[in-house]
Amino acid sequence: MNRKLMFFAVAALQVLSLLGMIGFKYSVIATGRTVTLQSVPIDPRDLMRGDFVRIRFAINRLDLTLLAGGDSTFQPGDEVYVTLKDTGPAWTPVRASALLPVLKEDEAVIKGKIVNVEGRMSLLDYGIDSYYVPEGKGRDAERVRLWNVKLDRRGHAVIEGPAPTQYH
Amino acid sequence: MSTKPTVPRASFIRRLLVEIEHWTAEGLIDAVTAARLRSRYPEVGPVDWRGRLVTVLSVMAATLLGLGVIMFFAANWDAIPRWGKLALIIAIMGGTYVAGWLLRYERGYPKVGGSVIFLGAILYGAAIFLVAQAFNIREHFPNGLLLWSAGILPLVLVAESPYILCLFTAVFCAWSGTETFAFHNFGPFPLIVIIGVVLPLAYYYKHRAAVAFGIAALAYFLVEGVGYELLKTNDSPAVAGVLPVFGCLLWAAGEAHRRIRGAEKYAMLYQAPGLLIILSFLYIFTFPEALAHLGSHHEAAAGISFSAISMAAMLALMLAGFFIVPGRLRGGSESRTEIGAAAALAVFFMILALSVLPGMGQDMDRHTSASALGIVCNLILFALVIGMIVHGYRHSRPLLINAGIAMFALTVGTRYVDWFWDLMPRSLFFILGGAVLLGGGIMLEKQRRRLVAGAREERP
Repeated sequence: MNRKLMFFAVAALQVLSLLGMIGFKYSVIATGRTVTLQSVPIDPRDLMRGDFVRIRFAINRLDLTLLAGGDSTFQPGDEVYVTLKDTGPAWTPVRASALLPVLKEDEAVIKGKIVNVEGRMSLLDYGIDSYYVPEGKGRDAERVRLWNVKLDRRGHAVIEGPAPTQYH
Repeated sequence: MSTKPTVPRASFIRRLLVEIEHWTAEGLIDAVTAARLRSRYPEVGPVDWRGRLVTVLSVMAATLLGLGVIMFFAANWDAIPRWGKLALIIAIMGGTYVAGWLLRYERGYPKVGGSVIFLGAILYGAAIFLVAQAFNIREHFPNGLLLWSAGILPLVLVAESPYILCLFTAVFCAWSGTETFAFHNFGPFPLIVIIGVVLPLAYYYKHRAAVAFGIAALAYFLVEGVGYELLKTNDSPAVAGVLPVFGCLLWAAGEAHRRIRGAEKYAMLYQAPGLLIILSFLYIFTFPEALAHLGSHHEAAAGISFSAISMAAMLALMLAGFFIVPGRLRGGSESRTEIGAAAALAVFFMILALSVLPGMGQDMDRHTSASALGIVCNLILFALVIGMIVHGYRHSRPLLINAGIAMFALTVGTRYVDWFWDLMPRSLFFILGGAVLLGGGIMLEKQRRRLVAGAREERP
């Protein structure tokens, strides 16, 4: 293969990777189920990319031993599937497992990774720790306590935005 | 005296050719001898300072342009619709690559074109984060850095650009560090990439800056491992040994480079930072307070620690170098001395980190033990400094002589402050201190000049 072809193939792959990022997000939104999660926002500004809110959800800190039915073998770095159920106004965790669970009709699953373990409580990362908002709207977004999140069948999560119904 | 292989730098050969012309003109040598002398050395072209200047200026211009584009978008971002932003990003990135290709390969501006391609690699990173912002994609944000590094690595090969390799190394380290410190994901993958991809490519392109980035990435990997270990345990003594042992490994690796034909130009990239790390840590360990502090924060890791594994691996490499490398290459005795000294120092740092400091415990005698240990470290530092100066003089090594004398002056100055601060009135302390520094400085400078001049005369 000549150099010119390879060079522009690499450039095309870079463009495709950008489109792939967008495609992944839209595939989760198109096929996923909307759940509402409760949050406490923190640290609202990034100078390079306008305003965004960093979000910590209630499900970021869980007693996995309790949710896993006494199985306390989770370690930092482990992947965990947390099964959620709508208990109104937000969805709350009902089970946790190392493998993708079989879900009931009224359940959804979110995939996370254990960042740290403090006693019985584990700190989990679901990859949805922040949300961009228009310039100057960061303060409004900080007050949001309920967020709509799309979850696909394998537990991938994408933030849709603030839930229409809020409480403080 | 050793008979190390000599592949002189291009600057030396240029100077020699001028000298040969003078010797021939003065009748010191005849034309035949002059021709034989010339034939001993590879041909070198004239100094390409314009080429270097164009490269440096082009890289600076590309960086400024990249930053300008990013800042322009950052300032006007909200006014552009989402899909418009995507089109703009792709158009600018694609246009940059097309321009870079045309300039480098079709219009005869290889250096400027290379810099524009480098700018394209920067813009690709900016594009990832701008797309993430425009489409609100924040799923595990270090993935953006990983995607950036993965996307530009093929460009290193296709565009034959060591500068993009440097960018790749920096971005890859940023990804690895974010995973380690923000998400507690640490594993051997970054080390495999540095050793298996970054350093081989840097040597393939014979690019000193890229090799330097590779060495810095190795150090960064160790810092990450140490940081990750500290997040899990409180084992300060163990982690205090990793970097000084790495310094010893750098020195030994630099010595191996000095002995390999064609690799001499990389030796200083290893030896200068290696020596700096060794002397800095040894200097810190001469303070009993620092040793007592480290000794009081010991909490052994469950299982085998990263610190212990990495120190053992680095020592094994040094020992392999000691027994294998000098045997195959010329200049064996000098290399054995230096690699052996580095390995011995590494053993000392390992014993200090893994046994002595943890053994100091929490008891009341800790400060007494630390004082005794401080004296031992002072003696070792003193012996090392003397050894550096003697070895540097014997083997024409100005780096060893200069660093040894600087370290000697620093240590003496430090101990003067340590021992006499409480004993003398403040004014007398400063007057005497100033006099000692001035006198000592003059004496050391004279001695240093004499030694370095002697060493340069001795250099083959």
